[in-house]
Amino acid sequence: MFICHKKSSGKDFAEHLKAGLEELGYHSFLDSKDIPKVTDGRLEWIEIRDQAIRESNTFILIITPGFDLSQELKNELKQARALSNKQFIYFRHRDLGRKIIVDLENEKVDLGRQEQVSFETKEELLRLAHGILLKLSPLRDFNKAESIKLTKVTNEKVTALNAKVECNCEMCSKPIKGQSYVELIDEKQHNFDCKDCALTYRKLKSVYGDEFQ
Amino acid sequence: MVCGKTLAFHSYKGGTGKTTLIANVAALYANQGFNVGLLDFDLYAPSLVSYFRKKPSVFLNDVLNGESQISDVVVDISGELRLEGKFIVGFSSPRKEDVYDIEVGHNTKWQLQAVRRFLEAKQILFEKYSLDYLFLDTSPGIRYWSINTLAMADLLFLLMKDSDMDIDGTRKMINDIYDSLSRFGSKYYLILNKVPGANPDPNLPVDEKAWICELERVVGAEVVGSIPCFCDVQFNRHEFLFSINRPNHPFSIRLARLAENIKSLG
Repeated sequence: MFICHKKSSGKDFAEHLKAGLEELGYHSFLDSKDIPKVTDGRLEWIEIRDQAIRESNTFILIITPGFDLSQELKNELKQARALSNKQFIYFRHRDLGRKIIVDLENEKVDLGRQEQVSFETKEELLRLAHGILLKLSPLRDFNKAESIKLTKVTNEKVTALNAKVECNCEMCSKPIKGQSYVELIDEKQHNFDCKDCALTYRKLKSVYGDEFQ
Repeated sequence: MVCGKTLAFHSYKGGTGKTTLIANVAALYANQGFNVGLLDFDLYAPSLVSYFRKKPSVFLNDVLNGESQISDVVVDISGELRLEGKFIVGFSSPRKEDVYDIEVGHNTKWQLQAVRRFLEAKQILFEKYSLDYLFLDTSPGIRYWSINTLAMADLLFLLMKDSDMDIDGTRKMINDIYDSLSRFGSKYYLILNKVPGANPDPNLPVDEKAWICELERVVGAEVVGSIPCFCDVQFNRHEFLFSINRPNHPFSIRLARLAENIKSLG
């Protein structure tokens, strides 16, 4: 996914969002982080950025004060809208009103007519984005794990395994009966008895790190 | 299968009123007909035994040790309190040997096994007693068992008083712990307790609202309720479920408001 933001007012939000999403296994592109500092001038910078827009399937626009004054941001939005392979998610900071019209030269986009999600803090933005992305890319079948790995879109994804697994839950130790939850963490498969166990494991691991094994 | 909600009350420092508030809110829900569980996971300084004036022979410590089943440990007190719904309470041991045992008596393998037993106990409680809500009282600060308890909960409530130490500590815990947990579905909120000079009227005056907004901004979390400091509660020798026994007391009215706000969080 491509994260579009205004540098002066949205940098903190965008960087926190990218870091959080990467930790959750979602690959995202943020120009300040993903374009090498040493590029061969502005043209190469634009080339890398444009390629990322073309290849992304989700375009996240973080609407913060003054975002519509940025020419680069308008270029990114214009380019993304011209492609038909994208879903757009508009996150609007609560300091701003809902009705926002962006002049993209060839068209005036009324963002007030688009579905917007409002946020206040960077933590809230990440929580909301995670919730939306889970809905956009629902639980996947474990048999497709290889393709998930290849796309590198997710390496920490809770997946529902329909086949019976004869093992114990890695969180509560109970024997797993019937459907289990399989979670890929650091490309390693973990089996859980239920969603509650999988979530608890992830929470504890997020706090304790590798010590929790 | 866990169908109800698990709520943990936590704070950076001790003395914020966790036990009083959690016991009252839990009892209010039970009085409304919900099936409620309340577990004392303040394992380092247990207080529910004293609060409910009970002398159990088995404790949550025994569940963590694998020596008792959770259903043998919890006590149903809804009958004696004449509550509409079930109100089951699990106590932790105040014996100094048991507290010391939890603190330093075990290796990492035991600790992990105890976390597993805790999770299993939680699931059994929801299944066996058809709980709507499970309340977990925690130890203050960032400690092994307070973190484990927080990880078991869906909704986390950080209690704080209006002091710089509380504000700084709470903000730090949000950055260090709560943000990590919230990435995996936990939601966290602030509860302000023992607020000096606050209006006991349940409808907040404008200046108190402004103060809360500022605090939310500084700490980085939403305030779900504020409870003024009442001297007759604070210095009561044994405050016991004011919300049930003295429902018209301003403290109880604010507690009822807090309980409704928590319920609306889903």
